[in-house]
Amino acid sequence: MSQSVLEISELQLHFFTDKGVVKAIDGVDITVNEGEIVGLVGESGCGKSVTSLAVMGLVPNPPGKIVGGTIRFAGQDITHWTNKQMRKIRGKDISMIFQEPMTSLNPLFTIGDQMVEAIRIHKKCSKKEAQAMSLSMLEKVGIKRKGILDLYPHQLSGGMRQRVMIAMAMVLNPRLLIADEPTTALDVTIQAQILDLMRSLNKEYGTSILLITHDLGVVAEMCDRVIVMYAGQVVEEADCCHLFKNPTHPYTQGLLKSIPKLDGNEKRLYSIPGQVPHPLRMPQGCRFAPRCEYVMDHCWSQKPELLETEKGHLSRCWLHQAKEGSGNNGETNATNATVESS
Amino acid sequence: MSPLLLCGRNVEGLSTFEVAENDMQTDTAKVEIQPNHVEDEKPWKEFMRAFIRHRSALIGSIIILLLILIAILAPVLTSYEYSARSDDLNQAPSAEHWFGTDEMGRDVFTRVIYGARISLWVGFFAVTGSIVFGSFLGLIAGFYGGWRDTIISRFFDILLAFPGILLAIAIVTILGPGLNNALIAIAIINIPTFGRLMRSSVLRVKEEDFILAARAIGMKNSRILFHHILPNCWTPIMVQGTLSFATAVIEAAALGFLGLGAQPPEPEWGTMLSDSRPFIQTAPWTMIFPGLAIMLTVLGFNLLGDGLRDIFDPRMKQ
Repeated sequence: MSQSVLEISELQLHFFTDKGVVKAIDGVDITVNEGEIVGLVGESGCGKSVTSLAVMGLVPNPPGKIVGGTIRFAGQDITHWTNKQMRKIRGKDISMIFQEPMTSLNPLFTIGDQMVEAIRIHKKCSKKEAQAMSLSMLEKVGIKRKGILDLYPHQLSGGMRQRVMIAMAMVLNPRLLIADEPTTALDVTIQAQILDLMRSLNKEYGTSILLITHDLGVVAEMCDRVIVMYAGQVVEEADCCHLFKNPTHPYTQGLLKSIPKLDGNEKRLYSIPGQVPHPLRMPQGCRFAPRCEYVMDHCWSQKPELLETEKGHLSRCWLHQAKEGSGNNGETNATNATVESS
Repeated sequence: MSPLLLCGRNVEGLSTFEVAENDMQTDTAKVEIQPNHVEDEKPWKEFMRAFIRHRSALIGSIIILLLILIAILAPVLTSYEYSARSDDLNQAPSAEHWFGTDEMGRDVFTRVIYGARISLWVGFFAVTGSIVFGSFLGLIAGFYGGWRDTIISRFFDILLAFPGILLAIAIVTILGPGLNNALIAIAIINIPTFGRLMRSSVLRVKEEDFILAARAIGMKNSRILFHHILPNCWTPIMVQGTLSFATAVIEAAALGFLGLGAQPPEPEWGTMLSDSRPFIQTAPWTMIFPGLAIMLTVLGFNLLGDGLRDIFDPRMKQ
């Protein structure tokens, strides 16, 4: 097995607000290996973006605070690094691209200024060298236009801006690229181009990518491994093919069912009943229990653990965990969990 | 100027509809609607075009330019000294004394045009001072928040709790009467205006995605603050600065009128008004011309300020 670049284990990040403690991330384990593309899937508000910001050390504190677990990057524990320490690896070793290419560039500076700045923060080089680097990187992301460095962001389209953002993120050849819904704001045709681009950069540079999205189509196309999040927890993790063929968690099953099909004879699109639980009023037991069609009695009172159902496939669901474990808590379950797949 | 313009244009892009509506109503502030056109035009050129089309901005800037010219060329424009007395007391305007003479036989025209120097000087430095200190405090308060924000905002509140001119009088009383102290007082009372404006802009800009993106590439706080947030907050400060210039001129005149600003024989407009008060019936020209000068100056800066606001923000109803 290849070396892991990013290793998040048991991460808990809570927001301490006036109204109470919001457990935005409550037990998230994510491993991204060298050169791997990992998809992080979940609906809005499930903690995907907060997870990515936590890795970057960009969660505003207060009110957000990491209360448990660790984040390891390239072997180093960066969980409690200071802002000053984090600054040295942001943009150089871990880069991030954002959902909104339209607003992620400063409107007052040219593309060239912003790229040169991004380079010169981490690398001692002359402006000329930085410009040359920028140009060659921009060419790699498919922008060959002359004078691009002198253009202002408003002179570019959304897809072009996202390319610029990617170029900016990749120019220092980081080990990990976090892409927070990079294609959500783009046209479908442009989406495909951007995804192609990211995959080719992944191949060429061996950069690991943590792709955050709510679009399962994007995941199917891009990722080696998929992690499904629900209400601040990882509920399922598996190989991409495996997950699509054989989803074990009812939430994942629901997500897959709610994709429109081309041969669709069904009149109405399936949707998971109910709503995401209120962040201040999380269910006691399994967080998905109120919406689950297979819900059992002990789902309401006991928290399931994230356990392997078969090799490399993890699921946080009582359906696949030892029935005799009901009545005990999850930790004893972990020892006598049986491998069970549907 | 170009960053300012870009800031404005960014807003335009988002509100194409409103821009189009504006164009139908008036012919002023005609701005580019098609992005393709924008691409080919230099920002500076585009600004100039919008500026020239905006009538009040143009008139305002012409008035101000003339004032500045008059202030600079004062010794050329008149053959009198502003403090030179003659025996012709309180004479009506004539070919020799265009604006007449005052109660000490001094040429009012000469005093009015030298007065432009004082008023512009006070206005410029008072406004610059308040912008520098106010913006800095507002920047810190808005960006860092927390206790810094509490302290700075309460400081602004305290300053704003007093009527401006009253506070200025109090400050001058402490520092002692004189033009420079009046200038300092005016600068101080205008600090909260700029401070609050800057603070609110910073609060808005710091939540922008590109600030998060800047952090994500490892940029230092100080650089984000001064290179990415500050330039994006500049437009309202610029507009308010122009408008405050007018208020500063009035405040300087008011302090002069009360005998707390420029001291005789300085040809300050407010002081001139005050000095000639007893002669309002016998020699009205001694009051009319300095009064007109104050009015024109204030009008010029207000027109320019309003114009700039419209040009930078086309959503504003004209």
